[in-house]
Amino acid sequence: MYMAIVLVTSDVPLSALLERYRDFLSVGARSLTSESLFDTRTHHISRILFQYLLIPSVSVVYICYAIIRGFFQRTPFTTRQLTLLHLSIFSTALFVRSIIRYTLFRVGYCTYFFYFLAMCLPFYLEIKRADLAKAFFVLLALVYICAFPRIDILLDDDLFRFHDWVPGMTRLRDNDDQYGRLVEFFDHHLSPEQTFFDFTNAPLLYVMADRRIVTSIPNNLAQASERIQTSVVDELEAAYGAGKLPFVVFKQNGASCMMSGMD
Amino acid sequence: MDGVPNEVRSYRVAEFIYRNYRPLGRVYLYELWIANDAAFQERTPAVIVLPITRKIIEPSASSDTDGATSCPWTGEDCLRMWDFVDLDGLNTSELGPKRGTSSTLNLTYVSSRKSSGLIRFDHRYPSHVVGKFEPFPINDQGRTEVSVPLPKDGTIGELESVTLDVPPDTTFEVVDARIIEKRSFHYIGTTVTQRFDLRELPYIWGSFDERDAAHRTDVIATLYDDPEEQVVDWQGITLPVDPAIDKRSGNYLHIRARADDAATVIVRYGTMGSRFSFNVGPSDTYNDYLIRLSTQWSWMTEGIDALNVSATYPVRIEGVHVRRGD
Repeated sequence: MYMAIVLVTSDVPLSALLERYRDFLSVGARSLTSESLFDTRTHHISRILFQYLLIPSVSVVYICYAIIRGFFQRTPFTTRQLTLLHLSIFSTALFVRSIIRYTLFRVGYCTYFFYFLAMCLPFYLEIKRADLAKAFFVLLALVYICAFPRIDILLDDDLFRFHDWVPGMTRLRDNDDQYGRLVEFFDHHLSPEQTFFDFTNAPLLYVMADRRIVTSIPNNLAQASERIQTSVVDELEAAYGAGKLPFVVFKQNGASCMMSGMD
Repeated sequence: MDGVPNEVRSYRVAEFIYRNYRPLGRVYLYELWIANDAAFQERTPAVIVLPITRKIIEPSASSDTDGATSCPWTGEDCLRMWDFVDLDGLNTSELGPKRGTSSTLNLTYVSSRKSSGLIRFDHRYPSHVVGKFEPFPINDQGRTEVSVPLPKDGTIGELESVTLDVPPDTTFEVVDARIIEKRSFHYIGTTVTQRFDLRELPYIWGSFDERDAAHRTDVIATLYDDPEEQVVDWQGITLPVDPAIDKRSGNYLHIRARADDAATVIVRYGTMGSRFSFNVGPSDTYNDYLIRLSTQWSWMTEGIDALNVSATYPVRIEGVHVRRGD
């Protein structure tokens, strides 16, 4: 898709662009696709197609559906659908910008929100029947397996997890070991209007504990400049003074320079 | 992400926390600090005493209800006590939001011989029952209590039955059975050890800070200032500090140093084992290195009377000052 966008917007002659794409597919992307996903040097083309074409093309589905629905069917989107559409446009823009700005010789590969968007497609397309949604996920799995011919993932006992949801039960399931005990602690020791301050770079903790975030910028990694630190301290002082901030969550010695436990 | 501790990256936030909070305890890998004016009452772990329906099993027991059977997981004969505790009316929500998944079954028993046993927990799900086995040691030292963890994945399914297997030729008496919520909170005291490897950051802060804190802030203590340079190596030097030094707006440690070869300088102080380390690159001239001392709890709360400065390779030091934080 990014190729198509560049084709439309670039001043470079078409023949020159196509030559670059050929080089990209034959040489450049081979060295840039995520090696960690594979254990051999085979399947390069599958990898390239999957990472640089198939996964980003999820956004094409989002945008095309929005055009059809908005311009032809004239059916309004819900706020959540619009959020997903926004994420798809955002991811596409960053993806194209990344390729153009850093060329293909950038270490690493970023999927932006494409995987998340792929998982949300049934919701976006309003596929509400459970069996259709399951079929969609199986289709996604098959595409993945075709792109990366590995059968060992099929043998993983944890490949699928089924839960029987009942009305009112949260759809957010966490890692019990990481957050469950902390959430229990806060459930017992905080009143409904109280919250805590996370100083471990784990903003997900607020979500799991269902507690209010008192700082405008929840991520500690972004609380770095003088101006932001001063505003964060002001917000903390206000909450502290009102008795709404009895606890701070800490981790020591560099363990907190990761975001929600992920590097 | 960037390898910089939160306390250093967000030093004003850290100093706010140090002024208003104190270490309290630990839950899993997380430290919990509590506001200085807040009271804390640790929650008493929930305990559910289970009624015992079958108390004793003996080698002569019949196999209809209790007694000898073939244990499918070992292939050997064993004595089995079916449903030896009454779970009717058991409300696992009393065990917290996780409904007992962090709890244990504490069993008090008397056994005639030393061996090992198995407890089977059956959880009922809407469509099926899942059984999980937990082994436990049996000894013959009279009344003994053993703690067996409840299965972790029993969050949704309700605990339906508990079965006990012991080896044949064993007389086994259950004295008491109770589910005890596992304690996840542990007090840690106020000692917090922080060891920050700041790498090139002190050099960047000392040389490229747009506010030039290395020169524009007030010197409130000079620890070393001599035209004759001091060479510091792995043995280190100890520099006295006034324990009553003003820490209200935070403090910097300003070191002017140079080295012929790349070295790591280590600054130790206090009783908690906290320290800073940073890199000094080879240079013909002295450079400024700036450390925000107040990013560490130990500096902010202890009465520090000395700093120890050492280095992995010889480093020449021209001056060491404590500056008022800006």
